[in-house]
Amino acid sequence: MKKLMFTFIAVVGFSFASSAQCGERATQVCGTCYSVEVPLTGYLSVDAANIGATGGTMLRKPNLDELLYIMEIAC
Amino acid sequence: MKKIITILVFAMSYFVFSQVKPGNSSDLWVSYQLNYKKIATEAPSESTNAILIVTNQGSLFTFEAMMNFDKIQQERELTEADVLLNRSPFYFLIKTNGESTEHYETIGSDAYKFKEDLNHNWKLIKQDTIISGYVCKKATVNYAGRDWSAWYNPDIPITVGPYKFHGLPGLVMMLKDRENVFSFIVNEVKKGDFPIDSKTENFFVKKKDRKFEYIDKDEFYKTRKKFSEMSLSDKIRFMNRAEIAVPTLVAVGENGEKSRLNAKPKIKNFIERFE
Repeated sequence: MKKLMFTFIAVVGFSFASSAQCGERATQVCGTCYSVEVPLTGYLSVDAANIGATGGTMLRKPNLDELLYIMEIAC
Repeated sequence: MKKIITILVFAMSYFVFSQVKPGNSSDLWVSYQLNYKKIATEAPSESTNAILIVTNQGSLFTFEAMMNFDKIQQERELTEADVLLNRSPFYFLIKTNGESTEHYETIGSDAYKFKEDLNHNWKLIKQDTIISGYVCKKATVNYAGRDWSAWYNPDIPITVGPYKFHGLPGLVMMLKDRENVFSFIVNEVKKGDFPIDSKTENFFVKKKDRKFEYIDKDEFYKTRKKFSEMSLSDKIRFMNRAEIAVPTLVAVGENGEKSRLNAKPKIKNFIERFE
């Protein structure tokens, strides 16, 4: 019974926290996928670094600080 | 009916104080349920747990979610799942020593602290009520734009309470403001050894080069108000204002379509109410 409860909590916890449905450049918060879009600046070195870091999408996951405020509004 | 009420009072008393165990230390761990209206115009519906730890060296008040952050960050870095599973309505921590309090709070990606000497002008009211089986006395005070009523228990003679509400001759068992925007109700008291982590940054999302900077109290409240009125997108821009490429937050739909989040948020309630 304990094992069953633990598995249930783990599954619920994972499904709440998982971002699998949003892809690797977004985070799911209360049913919506959020991503941070990095703009082009016109500075070659900056843009090249950002294109590299975002796999060419110019999107990244929100960091943990940003996540706190997304949760506040979204949930 | 009387019998039922008596049984209920004893049952609640047992529930609250069943874990008050005599230990070697005189530290106290008090858990409060905070009921709050998140948004100014909406009905009360949310609640969370806040924790007060009282030791000989002073006391600490924060939220259960932040206690969990502290526990985790003493061992490893926080993950996205940790943040998603430990939600808190506010991210602040109050340290009290005598009448002096130190307030720690993050605004966006900035971390601030300020000191405050509070000598609350409590008005003791000749009115008793029973909370969790204990006869509690009433006191009132005006603090930061709200009128507060507290019920304290003289049988637990500690002078600190939730948030910055200290100075009463007993543990604050219940505290609420006149408009019922915030109410704190004790739901557990434990006695034992409860050392307070001296690394305050562990209670927050820890960042490598982020330190709590001293700020003027009024300046802090002004900055917090300004930040809370920003749209979510503006908040993210503000948090990344030092970047050359200042990013924007987008909501991504099922087919990859992006939508901006520029809506102004509803006004958030804080314990301090300044017009």
